[in-house]
Amino acid sequence: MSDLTLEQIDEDGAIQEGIAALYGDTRADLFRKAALGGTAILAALAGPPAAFAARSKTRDVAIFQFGLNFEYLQSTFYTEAEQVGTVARMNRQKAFWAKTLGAHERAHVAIIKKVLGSAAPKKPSFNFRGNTDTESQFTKTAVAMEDLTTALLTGIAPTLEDRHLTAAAFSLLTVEARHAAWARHLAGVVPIVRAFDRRKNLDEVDRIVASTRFISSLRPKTTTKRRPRYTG
Amino acid sequence: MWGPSEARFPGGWTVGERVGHTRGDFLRRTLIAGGILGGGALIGAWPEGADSAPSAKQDHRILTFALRLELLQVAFYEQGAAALQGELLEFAEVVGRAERAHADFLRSHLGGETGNEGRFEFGDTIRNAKTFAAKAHLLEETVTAAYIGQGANLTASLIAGFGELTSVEARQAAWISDIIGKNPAPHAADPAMTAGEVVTALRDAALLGQ
Repeated sequence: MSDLTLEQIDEDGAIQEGIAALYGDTRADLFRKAALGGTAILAALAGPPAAFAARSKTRDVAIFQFGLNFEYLQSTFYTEAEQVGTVARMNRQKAFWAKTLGAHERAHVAIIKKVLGSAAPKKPSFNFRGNTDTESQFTKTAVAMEDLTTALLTGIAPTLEDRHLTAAAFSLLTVEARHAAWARHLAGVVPIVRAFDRRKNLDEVDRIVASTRFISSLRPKTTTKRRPRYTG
Repeated sequence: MWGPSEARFPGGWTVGERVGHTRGDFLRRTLIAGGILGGGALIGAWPEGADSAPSAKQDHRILTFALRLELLQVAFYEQGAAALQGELLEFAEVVGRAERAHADFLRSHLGGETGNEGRFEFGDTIRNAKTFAAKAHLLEETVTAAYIGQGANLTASLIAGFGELTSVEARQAAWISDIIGKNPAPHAADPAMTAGEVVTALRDAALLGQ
């Protein structure tokens, strides 16, 4: 299977259109397109980065900075699994899953970075401590990571001041929930844990991420420098 | 998997002071007009977007709309289960239980003012496994998109619970997608549907009357 492209995961072109629109279209145009395409994330983030930073200097920006760090974590995890060859050793169905999730998380990084502009934190270095090296460990960690992301976004949604961003959180939390369910199904466990996913606040998520020791001051070690398509 | 504590996100995050903002433009564009029909009878009206700021009245409209969708799903899984076996039967049972819990949650927030909850009859529409699976996929995708379209229109106290429900609908959509060989996560950012689009999609699939 060839590398996924943004075109493949973004069937209606909404993400690409939206990224371009962030710098070109008027806000009204983007809202119109968002209504047609249903891209709440893009509607929410409409406008150039400076405008977003200016209108939301405190809590919402801080929350999105946290969100970007989390997306960095996820996107790097999936990218590294491709780089070290773990994804290539998977069967076709499993590899498609891993590549799709990686492409989605890289798209999320690209969008949030553009929106935050100069307020975007730099990408940390990660050390996944061997969890990208084998299919088994990679899958288990992916399930935990996607469940945690769903809980994070569900926790974020009601705390955002700007309703644009609340709408964006909804359009993203469902994607992360899909990732989690898909991962669980491939792992042979029931994709639905309970009737209501339990949200987590930023403190709770921060503690869990810290417990993984995935954030490292050292550069992550990989066996190849090949970049998957569309690395944000 | 998740090991002992050591590292933290550099830069971290802080909780700043609350920021005021104007919701009007966004809400005027996102609120929707429309209605939902069940069994051929009008069972709920949908608001025009004139008074679009989050309010108790608007919450009631949204939760009533969501309750109708949950009840439709409960009936769908109850009536469809007889034709199923294996993983599809497990899916219908697990998801059916979740939908009943969702309906209870919505009823509790509606304070007993749920109006005519209606009845749903699907007949031959879902009397074989293949048709059931296709309809279930459409139903879960539609409900997920409907909730994405409404979450931000609720008052703040309801958003958290509605989000916890919405993410489960997305899990259900992904599960049935994988069962039938469709991409469980086809978009990097999920699309929303207006109430009108929801009604049209369900009618076109013969899951709602005309």
